[in-house]
Amino acid sequence: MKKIMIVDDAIFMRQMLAKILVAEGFEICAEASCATEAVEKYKTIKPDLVTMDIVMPMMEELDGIGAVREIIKIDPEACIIICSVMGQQSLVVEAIRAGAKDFVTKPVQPIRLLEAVKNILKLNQNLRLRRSGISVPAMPLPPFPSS
Amino acid sequence: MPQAVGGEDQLVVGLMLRVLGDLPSNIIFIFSQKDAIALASLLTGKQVSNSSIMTDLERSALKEVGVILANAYLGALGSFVGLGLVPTVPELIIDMAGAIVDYILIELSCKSEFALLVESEFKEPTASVTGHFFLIPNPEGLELILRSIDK
Repeated sequence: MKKIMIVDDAIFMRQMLAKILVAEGFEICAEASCATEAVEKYKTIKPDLVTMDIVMPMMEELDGIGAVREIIKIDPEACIIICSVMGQQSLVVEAIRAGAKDFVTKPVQPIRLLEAVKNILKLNQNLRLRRSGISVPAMPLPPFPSS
Repeated sequence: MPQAVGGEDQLVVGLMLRVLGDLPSNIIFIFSQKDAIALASLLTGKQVSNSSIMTDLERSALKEVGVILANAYLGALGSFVGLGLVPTVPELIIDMAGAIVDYILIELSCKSEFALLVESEFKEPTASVTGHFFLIPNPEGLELILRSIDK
């Protein structure tokens, strides 16, 4: 069972995302309500995938994009999906450049979230198989957000 | 403004956000108690009985509505007037409508005797939820909007 960490300052969003993911058979291994907590938990729990809200209150030094950068430093192959409201295209582009693999917009559509999670996990698995010498067909990349 | 939501003494649920960027402003969403309860119940799937004793989850659900609507509204307005507008995380306040509006207007009155109030009403048809959205630009922000519209 793949382990997912949900990062969002809103308890409502964390619960909603968890409900969608658990119903599809994923395990929620951790939740974080700020960027600093997310980085600390990533180091110890090593989830298979992270959903990251990029707009969170700046209580600590890090914001959502800073957390993406820190997690990528820890694990360059980390699977991070950005959860952002509409109208934050420039932040999404910055997060993707920092190493996030895909994005979903709020209000979150369960089909779109699950499609992104499954695609990214599959891409990561294929990458590891290719490295170990096993041939796997190429998959289409997720769309880049227009700024 | 308070008249739009039932009068100054009406107990309401307000979501307040500041707008940063090219157009310094404030945004207030106001729901009647009844509508806030209906919306929170709809989002959480649990029956909420009283807006003054909302749980963290119910407050968080209403704030998330504020975040999504503010970003959508500011995204559209920003494209229209060619300005970059970024809202802060909302604060949820349960108080009389007059008190919530005064809080913003007192701050503005230090700088100007006039304010532009943009009111939008939105409805969720199945649950009959109505909310009021007010964008209150600072005087310098107001001038920017008018100049951008003139162009």
